[in-house]
Amino acid sequence: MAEEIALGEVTQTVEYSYWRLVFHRLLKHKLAMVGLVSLLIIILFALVGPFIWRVNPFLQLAGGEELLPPSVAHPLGTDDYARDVLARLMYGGRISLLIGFSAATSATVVGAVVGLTAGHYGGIVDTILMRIVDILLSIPIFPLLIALASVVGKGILPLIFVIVVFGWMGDARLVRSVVLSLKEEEFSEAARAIGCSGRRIMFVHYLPNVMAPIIVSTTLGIGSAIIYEASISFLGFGVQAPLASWGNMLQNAQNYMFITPRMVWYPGLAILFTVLSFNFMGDGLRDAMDPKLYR
Amino acid sequence: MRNYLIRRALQLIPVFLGAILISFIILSLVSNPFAAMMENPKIRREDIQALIHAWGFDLPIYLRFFKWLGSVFQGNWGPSLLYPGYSAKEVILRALPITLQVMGLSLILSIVVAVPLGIISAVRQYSKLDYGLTVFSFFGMSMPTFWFGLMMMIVFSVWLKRPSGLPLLPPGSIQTPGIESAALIPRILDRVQYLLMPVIVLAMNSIGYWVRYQRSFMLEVLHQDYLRTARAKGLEERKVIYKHALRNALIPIITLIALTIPGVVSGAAITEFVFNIPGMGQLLLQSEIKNDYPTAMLILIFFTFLVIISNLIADIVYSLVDPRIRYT
Amino acid sequence: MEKNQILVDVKDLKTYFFTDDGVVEAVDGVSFTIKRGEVLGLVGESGCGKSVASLSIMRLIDKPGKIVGGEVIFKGEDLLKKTEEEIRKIRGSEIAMIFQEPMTSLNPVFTIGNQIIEAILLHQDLSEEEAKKRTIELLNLVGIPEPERRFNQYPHELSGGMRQRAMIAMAISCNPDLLISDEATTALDVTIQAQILELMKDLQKKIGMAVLFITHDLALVAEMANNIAVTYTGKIVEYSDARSVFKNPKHPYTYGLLRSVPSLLFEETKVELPAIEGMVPSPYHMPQGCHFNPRCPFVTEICRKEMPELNELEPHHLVRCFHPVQAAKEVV
Repeated sequence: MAEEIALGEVTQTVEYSYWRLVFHRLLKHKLAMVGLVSLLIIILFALVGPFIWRVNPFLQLAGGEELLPPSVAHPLGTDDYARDVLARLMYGGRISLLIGFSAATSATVVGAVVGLTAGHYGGIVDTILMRIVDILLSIPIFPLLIALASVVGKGILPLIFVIVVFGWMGDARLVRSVVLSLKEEEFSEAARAIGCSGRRIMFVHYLPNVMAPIIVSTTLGIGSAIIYEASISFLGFGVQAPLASWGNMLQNAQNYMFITPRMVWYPGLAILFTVLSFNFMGDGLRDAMDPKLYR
Repeated sequence: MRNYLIRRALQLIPVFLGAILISFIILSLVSNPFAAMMENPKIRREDIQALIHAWGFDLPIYLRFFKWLGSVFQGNWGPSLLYPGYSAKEVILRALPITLQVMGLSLILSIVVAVPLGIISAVRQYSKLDYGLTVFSFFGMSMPTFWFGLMMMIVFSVWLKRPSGLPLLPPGSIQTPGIESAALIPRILDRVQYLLMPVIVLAMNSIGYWVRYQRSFMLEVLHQDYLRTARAKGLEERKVIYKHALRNALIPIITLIALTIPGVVSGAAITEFVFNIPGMGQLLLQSEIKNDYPTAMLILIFFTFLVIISNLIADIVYSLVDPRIRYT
Repeated sequence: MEKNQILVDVKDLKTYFFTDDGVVEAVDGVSFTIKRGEVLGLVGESGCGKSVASLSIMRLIDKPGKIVGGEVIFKGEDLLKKTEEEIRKIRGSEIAMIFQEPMTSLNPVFTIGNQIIEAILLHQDLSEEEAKKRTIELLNLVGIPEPERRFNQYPHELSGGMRQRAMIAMAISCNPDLLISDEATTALDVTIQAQILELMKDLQKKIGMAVLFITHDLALVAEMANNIAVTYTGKIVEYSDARSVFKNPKHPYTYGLLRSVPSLLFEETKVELPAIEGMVPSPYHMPQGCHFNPRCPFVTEICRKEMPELNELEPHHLVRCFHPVQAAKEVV
């Protein structure tokens, strides 16, 4: 996109690159900016927080210190094992965010590769890959996540693995449909005509065009990965004690729900606002990258 | 039309079988469900051996799949390992209507709430109502279902109480003990109070997504040229929107509903767990946790079938509603 | 109904668009008249404001656009002062409009018949039966074969040309006094274009309606128009009867447009097709003075400083230029 600025007789052309344009539009998007700011706060809380609030999240204080209400020593109180809740919230944040981020990016990578391959090669490869996508999409995800989790074991890596296994299909379909429309365009024919290999076409030519929806998808994917993590850990699989994640903090809290309901609030609100921020940002990114803007 | 249906159904069969196969493989990797039974002194060795044989556990996995599939189609679903003494069929069929109630009511609630809200949001774009609804739908999408369930329980069962001291809404289970002997109306009302929270909790996620999507479908339609033509004819604005625009904007939501069904199933499982509702979702989770894998498989088959059928139904309804699609 | 009575008198119409990036003066003081039964051709490149002018007449301008000034006197009354309800009565019945893209201008989920009947029943007190009969008559009139069958078909089942015919049928269903055709033939194949033009000429004579024919293609107006108004960046730069504009173009822009039409009669086949240099300026960065000056071969200092007024150079021939083209060679 270029603008012509007429200064008397001299005209100057200013070129805006695509990404700069996206950036400008993003800045104007209110919800996205709210999301970005709150996300930064949350990330700071989880990553930098423990250096400021130097309390051991695994340390169980003396008996009798369980489930204390908020105090100066423990701003969010203590949990049922007499551990400081604030510290656990910070460390739990690190784990939940880590899982969310790695699961979402891995799922997107897998999905993108599958989508590029299916879209580019077409034919039997496409049919088989898409059938697999259809099959996996027909299975109710959550019960099978639990089943798979009980198979691969409990813990962080198995958890990420499990989320990725059931999370790549959406990206695959998305990327494939973009590739299919790109195939029709002339630059694809040109690339084939000069003898580009399949891999080159896919990664050098198609991939840049697919980046925009992929970025949106990953951002939104982090949000849903965090929710999956929370749900799986809540049921007892996934992140195990004494490690903290927002999910397993909720599992603990459930037992004491009627006595100390605030234990349910803290990790839950943390999850809610984190996922909300990712969703706001993802939505803003999607609007910013969309060529048709309904203004 | 009929030919199309038959063709589609035939295409879906391999998908269905593939899904079952994958579920089967995953569940098979779980440890032997009969190990627990071996410990139980009340069950005779020979019976266990008979079961192992009937279920094909003495065979390699690929043969086991077909033997098992064969038994299922013959209607022989085996015993329930979770509830010894009952057959799997009994246990499942008892849980089935409950889950259907929960899922069905939640689906209806979602549609009735989300579609009009999405449309209003689009028609009044940029208004305060629009922003409010946008934020509301984001909350709906971002909230973990089970947490929302817990919160609802805290609010309506712990904080809010009836004059009698009992919780305003029961925090679990499906009916008051002893209600079976009452008449129809009291039984229905009783069921409603138990289902109120779980249905709303389950619907929240869908409502969040659907309001957004319906809003964007409607916005797309609102920018179409044929609305300008309608106005140029002298049509009043209300008719332009509610006759010309709406008819087009309601079409994509059908596909969306079908695509969300797997999510509703997943959500139902965890909602039932949190609210302790004896439905198929909870049964499935418990079966997996306690390694009752025959029952788990049966329920998975049912859910998979549900997903596939709803896709098919969505296709049919779509073709009825959109004149551009005609399957001849 | 007097033959020479003035039907539409647009006076100094101004429609501006208030966007985030600035104010776009899409229609900036446009005036023209159309008598009953007359055809006025409104000609100009894309983006010059002609569509916006026609939409302004129908009061179909939506945010961020706004009609900020002028009058549109239709049958003696100013349309810009009417209430929404009064305007709706006029739309479709006294003034009708057809648009450029017949595919997207018809609602895909309703049948052709349904959409035409809607137009009829809105303004006429007929029963559904009678409306249906009238619709089939109309479909016949516009040259659609097998009208009864087509009545029940959906827009996607018709070809582009037929869809446009259906749109025309819908537009004339209530015998409008004025038909606004906004680039109605642009999206069609050349042969279909010719057919639709013939149809419009035919109907215009039969029904006696006036036509505001908007296009960027000069060749089209040559056949149909009584008068021609050439627009550039929201202003009229030349306004006269068709013959004068073609034989005796005065504005450099009109002159350039006419010269750039490839003609099969040109003897000098080896000469380069003279194109007007430059591009239509961005609405946010209008040149100072006469808007055409960066592209004008006759430009002088005053053109860069002041905007010329619309002057009556010869009787009934208005030109907005400081250096109108004198005694041009016959171009067509």
